Amino acid sequence: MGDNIGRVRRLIDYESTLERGAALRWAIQSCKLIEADVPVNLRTNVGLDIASAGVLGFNQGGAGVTIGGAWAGTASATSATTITVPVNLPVNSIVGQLVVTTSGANRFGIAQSNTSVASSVITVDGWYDANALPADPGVAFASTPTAGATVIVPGNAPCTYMALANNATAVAPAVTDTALTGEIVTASGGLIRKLGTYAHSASSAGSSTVTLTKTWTANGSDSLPVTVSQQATFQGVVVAASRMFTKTALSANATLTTSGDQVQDTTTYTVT
Amino acid sequence: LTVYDVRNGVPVVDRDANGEPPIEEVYQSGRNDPDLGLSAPLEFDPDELLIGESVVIHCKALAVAPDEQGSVSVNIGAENLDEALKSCIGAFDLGHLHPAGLSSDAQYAPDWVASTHDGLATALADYYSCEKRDIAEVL
Repeated sequence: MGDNIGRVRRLIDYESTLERGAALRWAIQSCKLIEADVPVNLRTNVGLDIASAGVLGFNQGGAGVTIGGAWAGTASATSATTITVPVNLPVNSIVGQLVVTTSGANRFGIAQSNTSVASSVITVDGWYDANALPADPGVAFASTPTAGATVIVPGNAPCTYMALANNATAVAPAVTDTALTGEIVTASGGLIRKLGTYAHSASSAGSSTVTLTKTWTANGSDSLPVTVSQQATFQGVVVAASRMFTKTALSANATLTTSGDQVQDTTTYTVT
Repeated sequence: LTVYDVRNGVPVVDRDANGEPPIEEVYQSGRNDPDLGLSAPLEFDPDELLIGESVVIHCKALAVAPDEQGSVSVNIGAENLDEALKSCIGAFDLGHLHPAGLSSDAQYAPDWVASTHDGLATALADYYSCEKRDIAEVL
């Protein structure tokens, strides 16, 4: 009897381990990185939502159909931060999705919110020119497109803007964070939010690595010295509006004292 | 091993003898990788951003599969030539080359690099002392 109970317990443990396999592997990898003094990115709750919507969000909508996700039609109005579409979208159902138009100019915006009425009004962070992405928040958005042919693209906008936080005002990262408290926003400064450099490599078995890297250079507009303690990645360039994917406390603070000083951050995402 | 600025994690790109003097800490740590580094100081326009330029770097040992060779595809963000060069070197070395998180590009220096930006391709080839290929050959 005792042996049988032991076997059953071992079988239960084994099955339980299998069920927890992915989580365990993630935890073990995280522990290894922490032991190696490599900071582990904190995926925010918003970041998890971005990831799930980006991979799995493929709902189809259409005129008169109250389903968010993919949609194509003709917008009835536009402004610098809004576009009105003739479909009743559930409120805030397309947050983070790209809204693309070729009317007047080729533009896309990142949805920040949407109303739920007969003709939903989508608020975007601004209008991007895909051939001239804004380098940082100091660069003006592209001109406003006219009302016309529009597509709401399924998935979610990529998170490729990187920002730094000043240690003097930064607060410890938490999964509920939606902003990088203490983000450096000095006008014309060299340490402000920037479009990151993306790199990708993959094995024949499908495992891949994605990195976002940025080398910041302090300039004469920065208020130096400044001590950087955190980094975060965002969907868009607008400091007040963009959704934050990850937020990471650096393993060591980086101090920049004079114009020309640099700091580099490489954020690594491994998919296995 | 590649020597990084010990303060802020920025790769030191100039060779000792010919480039701008590396930071004091690097001198003190002692470099042993004469093949890594620019043979002459990089000339660049700090206001010219390379947004959208592409780079491909040969990789002898992928971080996700150390026994495999491959390549790393890079798309430059809001960076001038100096920043883009350092970001390429840092991302390749610490993110994509085995072992991840540790510098090993002196051990696994690429055989070739390519870029849509000739200045960046030239600088990378000089840094790694490797072949500069036509980007059309590798894309």
